[in-house]
This record gives sequence, C-alpha cells and structure tokens, in this order.
Amino acid sequence: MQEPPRPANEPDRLQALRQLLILDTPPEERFDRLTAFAAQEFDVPTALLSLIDDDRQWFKSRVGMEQCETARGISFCGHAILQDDIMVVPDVNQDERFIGNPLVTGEPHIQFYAGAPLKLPGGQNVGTLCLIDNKPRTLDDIDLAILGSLRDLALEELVRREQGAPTP
Amino acid sequence: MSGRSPQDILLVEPSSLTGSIIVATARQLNLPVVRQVNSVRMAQQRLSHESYAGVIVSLDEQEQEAVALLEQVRNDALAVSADVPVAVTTTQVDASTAVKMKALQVRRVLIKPFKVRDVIATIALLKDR
Repeated sequence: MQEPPRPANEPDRLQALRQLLILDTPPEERFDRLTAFAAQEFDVPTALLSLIDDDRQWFKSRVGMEQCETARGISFCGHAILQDDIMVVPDVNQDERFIGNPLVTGEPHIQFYAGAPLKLPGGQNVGTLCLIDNKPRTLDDIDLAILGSLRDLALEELVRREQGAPTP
Repeated sequence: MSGRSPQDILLVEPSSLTGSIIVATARQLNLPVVRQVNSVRMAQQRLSHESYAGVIVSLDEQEQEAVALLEQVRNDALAVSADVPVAVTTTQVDASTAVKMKALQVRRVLIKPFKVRDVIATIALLKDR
C-alpha cells in the first residue's frame, strides 16, 4: 500500500478547502441527492462526496458508508486529487497503491474505485465525487461522462455554497 | 433561444436534476444539444415555434397532455416535423398505453427509474434515424 503523496499546491489547496466553510457541517439534501443518484445510476453500494483535509478525508455526503471520515493516509480519494481526470481503479488487486489497504482488506472491502476530482475555480482539487464497489468493474465513455456531469453539479453546489457563505 | 439548432433534441423531464445530468452528459459526449423543459405545456410552446431532431417526453403526471402533444406532432400541427423521432419515459406501460405509443410511432419507451445511460443511448438512436 502507498499513502497518497501531497500535491504541490497543498497549502493553497487546504486554505481553499477551509474557505469553503463546509468541513464538519451537517448533511445537505442538495449533496445527498447527487450521491444517491450516483449510487443508483451506477448500481454501486457506495457513493461519496469526499473532501481531503490535512490528515483525513471527510464525507460531506455518503451512501453506503457508516464512517463520516477516514485517515487521509489510507484514502483512495487522496490519490484521485493528484490528477484532474477521473481516476478509475477497475480492480484494486491489480494496483500496488492499494494492495493491503485497510479499506480493501476490511470494510467497505473496496474492489473498484472511481473518483472525479472536485476542482475549484482557483485550480485546487479539494476532494472527489467517488464510486466504490466491492467487485471489480470498468467504466465506459458514457459512464465517465455521467460521473463527470454529477461531479460538475456537485462542484457547482460547493462553489455556490462558498459564494453564499458569510465572510469569516 | 440563442444557439438553437434544428438538430437539437427536446427533452420533457420534470426532474431538474435528471434533466441537468442528461443535458450535461450529452454535451460531454458531443451528442446533439439537449434542451430540457419541465412540462408538456412548455414543450408545446417550444414545438409550436421550433424544429427539433428528436423529442423525448415524460408521460408521468401528464399522460393525457403528453399523448395530445404527440398527436399534434403526428398531425403536423406544430413547427416540428410530423415524422420527428419520438421516445417516451414512463413509470409503467399498460396495454392501452402500449397501443397508443405504437399508433404514435414512438420508437422507444424507457421505464422509470431509467438509467441516464439509457437516455443517452436513446438520444444517439434518435440522432441516427
């Protein structure tokens, strides 16, 4: 297993994330409907809106996951935010970054992962909209476009929230 | 509407979320532009003045109105071509509805809850007819 490295813009990224004023806030229907839609559309047991904080990933919205956060060091989304394209891991057993990962060997027994980075207008990837399955699978071009569309809607809500938030 | 083309697809879908995802996904896949309206009445307004390459209509909650709209289309009573390819979405299809859809030359019936990917495949189908 490999812990996700920190992106080059990590201080700026963390600052942008915290300026969203969203960490540790209650669930919101406008995000929950997107993860619910994703889980139903892709027939996956777990869909998450994950935000990558300094030492944890925290889930603003979650379907099929009891925990509200996990350590960043074992997070798949920590890897996904290192790129702008959707990160797809069709079979975690074929990817050395995740072999032995506690999220693979234990609950939720991840076998498949796809994470669409949430890239803020300033260029910071603050998290992902991600899909998790407990069996290997693939995504075709239509799937990737749908996941990208859902991600864009989630990002729109995140930015809207930021614009509507009071100035700290 | 600015930038509108006769190659666009008109989607009548009451769910804004579902409609938004369909519109955005079609755009990403370089399919014809999908124009979403939330009601049959709004669709009628559009079809009275504008031509489309295909129409996808939700029958839910407004089945009579939707059927009446499709009858107007097939009777060449609107601006859209009378032989425009049509698909419908619905929660259920009974024998009576199936007969109506056949008479109205509906090319595909998608049962709700449908997958967005099935609507995307339908858009590609309408485009190619």
